[in-house]
Amino acid sequence: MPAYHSEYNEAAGATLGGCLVLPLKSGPTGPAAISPEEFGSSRDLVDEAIYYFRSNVFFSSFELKGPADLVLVYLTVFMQQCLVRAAGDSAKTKASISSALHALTLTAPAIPGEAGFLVPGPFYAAPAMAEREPMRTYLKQLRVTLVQRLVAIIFDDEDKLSKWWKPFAKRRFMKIEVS
Amino acid sequence: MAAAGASWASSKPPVVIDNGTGYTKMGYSGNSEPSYIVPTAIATKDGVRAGDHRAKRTEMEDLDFFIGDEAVARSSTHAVNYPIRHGLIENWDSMERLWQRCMFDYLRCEPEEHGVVLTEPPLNPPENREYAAEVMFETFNVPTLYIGVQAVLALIASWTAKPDAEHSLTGTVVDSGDGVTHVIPVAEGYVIGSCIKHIPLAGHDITKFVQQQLRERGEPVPPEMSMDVARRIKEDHCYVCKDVAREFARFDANPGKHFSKFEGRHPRTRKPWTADVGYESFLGPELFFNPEIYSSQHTKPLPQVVDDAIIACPIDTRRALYNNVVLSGGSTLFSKFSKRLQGDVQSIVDQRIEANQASLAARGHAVREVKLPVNVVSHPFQRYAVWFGGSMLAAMPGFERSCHTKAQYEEEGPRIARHNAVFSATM
Repeated sequence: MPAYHSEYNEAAGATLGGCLVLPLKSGPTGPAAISPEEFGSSRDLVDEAIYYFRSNVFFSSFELKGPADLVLVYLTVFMQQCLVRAAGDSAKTKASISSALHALTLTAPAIPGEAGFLVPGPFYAAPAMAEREPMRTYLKQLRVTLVQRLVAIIFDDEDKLSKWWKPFAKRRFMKIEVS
Repeated sequence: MAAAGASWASSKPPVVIDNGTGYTKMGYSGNSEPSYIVPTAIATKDGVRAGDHRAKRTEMEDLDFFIGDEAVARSSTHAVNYPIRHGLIENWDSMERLWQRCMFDYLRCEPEEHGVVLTEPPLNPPENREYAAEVMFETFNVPTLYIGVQAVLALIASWTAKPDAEHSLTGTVVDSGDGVTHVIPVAEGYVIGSCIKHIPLAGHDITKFVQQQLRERGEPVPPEMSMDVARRIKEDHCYVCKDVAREFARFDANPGKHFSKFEGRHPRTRKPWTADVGYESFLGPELFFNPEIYSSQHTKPLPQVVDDAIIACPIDTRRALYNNVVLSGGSTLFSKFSKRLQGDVQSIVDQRIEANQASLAARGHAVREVKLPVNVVSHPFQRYAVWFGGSMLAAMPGFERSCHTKAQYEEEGPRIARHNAVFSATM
């Protein structure tokens, strides 16, 4: 069985720099509309990234099947980065890790073509001039949403990083190094 | 002579010895399980070599060797030798001594009174069969000898799961032990040698993966026990899931039901410890279906390898090969292994049929409905399927006619062993 792909690859929607823009269940305002009633119990793009993370992180190659996959790959690598920061945190408490992850989302993220963009390689084409700032805002919105949902699940009963999540910090999705 | 032959068959059952790279399985034909399973190892006194005049030569030296578990236990004081590498016998001297101990100490039989069934890997050089015949007929004086190919014996073992009408010597054997996994297509009792595929992942790798996961999580397993604990967790807790992402979600939703505990005692301090068993219970066996989880060199999933092996075979055998995929070896015992393998191979086959039919339709040809069912056979004797197949074969009526007899050996010499007839119960 190959790596898991997004279910929204065939869905219609606007794209920013190739990444599909679809509504989210919750999160800050941004290019993606927030409409929880659209989903019911199905997953939105951020939920998908979290759901498939532990399975996809074992693979060293990934075939893009559509624009939603670009979002999935970006969020997977970002989630990997979050776990690396969480596992490397010196204080190891929930408060300290949450604030470290929150700090990660404060700065405006790099977009394809800029140094510091999370996903190296030919996956992402540099966006057109008009799409650059909207894409940056979209990526920031996705990152904040992901961190919000992540802090709800990665801690155990004693408010430490759960030992079931910690080993995943060592994995490297598609051999991409994150820090 | 004929009367003596008949009485031999009924009162002294043939001895079946399956020598594998890791373990030797031995027992009497007619039983469903081997009587003894020992590591294929022989320990001799350290540093004594022939021609070493300074060494004390006593009469007992020839007898001062141990085999099996006793050999492994003495690895610190004796030199332990593994005579079989990659399925082939490399050290005939050690092998002869090993057989000697098997017959006299373990099975406690008189070799002159029991026919012997040995096993050989596919692509075994015919010279090896000659050497085996020489040892058996000259040293042990056995009355009859049959050397069976392991894959064919595994196919025979699978007959227990099928009605009589479907007994066939055509099928694909997926043999997964501790060291390596083989996919061996067999047509009418003959192995199609050029289509054999090897996968370097097997039971040992799954054990190492489980051990790695336990270590990464920081489970309190004492280091000297970790390999053993990993093996027991693999055997007791591991299963094949249908979908990895869904399985992770199930563990999240219902932790009490899925996470389990493993308890043990420290070997020296006797203090008890407990470790949690989690995702490795389904990720371990998943190695067969997604090797990228563990290995960066080998990444082809087992169902794809099975399909490749069958596609390489002559076209008229393929339907039968897909229809009879037989499992053998300890690493195929994971729960739901056969179901998952069947589902994955069937989907590869169906996709190819669909693509072919689409291209035919695009070129304007009429398209027939084509069905190619994939069937994976699982049965209760999988663990020692090769030994069990030998045991069943030797118990079938008319089997004696396929063996080589001492009389034939004395008349024609060891070359009679080069060809072992494919025994079919319908003969």
